[in-house]
Amino acid sequence: MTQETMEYYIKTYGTELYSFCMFLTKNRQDADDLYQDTFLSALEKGEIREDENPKSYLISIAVNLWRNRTRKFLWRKKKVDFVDSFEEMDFEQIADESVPADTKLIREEEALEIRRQVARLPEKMRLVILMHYMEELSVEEIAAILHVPEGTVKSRLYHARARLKENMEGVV
Amino acid sequence: MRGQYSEEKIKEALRPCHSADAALNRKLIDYAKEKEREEELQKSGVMRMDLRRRFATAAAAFAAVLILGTGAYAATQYFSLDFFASRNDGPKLTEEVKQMIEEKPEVTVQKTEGSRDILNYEVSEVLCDSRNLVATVEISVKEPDKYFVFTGTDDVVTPMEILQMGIDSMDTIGTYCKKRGMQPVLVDVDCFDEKTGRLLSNSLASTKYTSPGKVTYMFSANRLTADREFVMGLKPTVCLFDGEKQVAIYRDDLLEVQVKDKSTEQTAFYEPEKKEPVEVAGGNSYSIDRAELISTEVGSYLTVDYTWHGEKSDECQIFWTLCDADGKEVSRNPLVRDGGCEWLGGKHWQSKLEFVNIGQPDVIHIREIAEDGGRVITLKKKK
Repeated sequence: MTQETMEYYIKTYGTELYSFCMFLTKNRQDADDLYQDTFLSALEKGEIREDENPKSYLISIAVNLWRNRTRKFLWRKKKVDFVDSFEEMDFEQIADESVPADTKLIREEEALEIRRQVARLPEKMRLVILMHYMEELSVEEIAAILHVPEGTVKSRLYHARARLKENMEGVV
Repeated sequence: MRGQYSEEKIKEALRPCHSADAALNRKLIDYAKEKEREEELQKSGVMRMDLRRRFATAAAAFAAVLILGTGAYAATQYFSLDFFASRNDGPKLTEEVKQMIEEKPEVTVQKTEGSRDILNYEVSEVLCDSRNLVATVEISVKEPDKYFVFTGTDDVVTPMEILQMGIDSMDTIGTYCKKRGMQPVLVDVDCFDEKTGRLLSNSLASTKYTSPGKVTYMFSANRLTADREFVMGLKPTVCLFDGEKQVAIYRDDLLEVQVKDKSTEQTAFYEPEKKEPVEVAGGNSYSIDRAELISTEVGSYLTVDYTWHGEKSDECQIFWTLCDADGKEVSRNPLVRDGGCEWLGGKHWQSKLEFVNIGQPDVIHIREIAEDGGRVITLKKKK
């Protein structure tokens, strides 16, 4: 991978990949490590094939690295209060001048609650939700990355959506 | 507040909105540039001029060899590899291993454009075998009244009492420095193999604050080549702060450290005691195809190749830990990384474990790390 390619990938996919790492790891320090390791691993592996989706490729590396860490270090994992982490982070929102200020506030509160609920999903459900909604990967792509059948991905998406719906429409 | 579920809301809430620090992205681009350059040089068969000089002439007529001083905080307290090894209930280093440690190895400094003369670096100890490299580096400020060195990005906003720096204050580093007209200095050091240009380590194993002006880093890195003598490069990235806000970033001088691998290596192959596939959840199973144990004075490294039988699932990726016959984990090694699991293609996988040196026993027990507790597998040494 050339310097030019690295710059292009960071510019094109950096925010998506980093956000994905943040949701996986739940804290900025671990997200930095995972993000960095993902790109360095991609650098070691060389150029991405022409028929391969670069974003999908980078996400698959991140997922594999993260799984290596969390599965191996289950009993040593630091516990971070996800809610605190997110509330301290700046929410870089695209300004929408047409939306009244009080409506924006409600939307931000709702968005924060959705992120909390996603963070509380079991790992398997959380992964597919992030890959589908945040990274906009297809069921086929997700199945290939996770090494599971497409039916399993669909099933997890279904159950994850049901749980989110139940939690969101409950009293907050 | 009662919310209404919708796909659009989920998508909007999960819209990517976090970006990596500019310094981190810059570092990645720099690595890509250096790797590209090294690959071009290797393709053309030309070694870098400075590397050729170093290998040819031990006396280093061309290179300036500097033994770096320890600065104003010399020897207030020294955190050795033995200290880091026995942290978190790890075992103390054996005498055999201690004898392999290189103290104060030869270091060459390569001036880097844009570097500033704020910090001293001293490589205190280096220990390696063909798989791992561990080193401690003492980093101190040259002007302790002006600068305050720290290591983790979040430390600048953390109360100092929590950081165990010997300062009894609930001020953050940023606030503490602001009150005293000092500048916080964040240091991050990457370690790489100079011959190949490849990164060995991009994260720290452990740090210990000696005082506000001094910190000890302990690295643990997987080696990518098995040369008996090689040059380890240390590249510090330094960020300057004003209070809690980062205001400048630069690359400090490159440190090139001569490293010798004095370890000896033993290899043995193992096979599972029970030949039939191991049954796991969901009606699936796997069979161990090959297990290789390499032991050095620094640690033991077990590589297990296995074939997954059955449907694709999350359980394909298997991690093991070394254990006794009852399944209780043994012999964690704080100086090495724990390994990982990789897909080799088709239904073939490879899992790696790293732990303290166990020699070449006749029998090894490993336990799966799984939600149901995992099964204990007994491996017997092949004749």
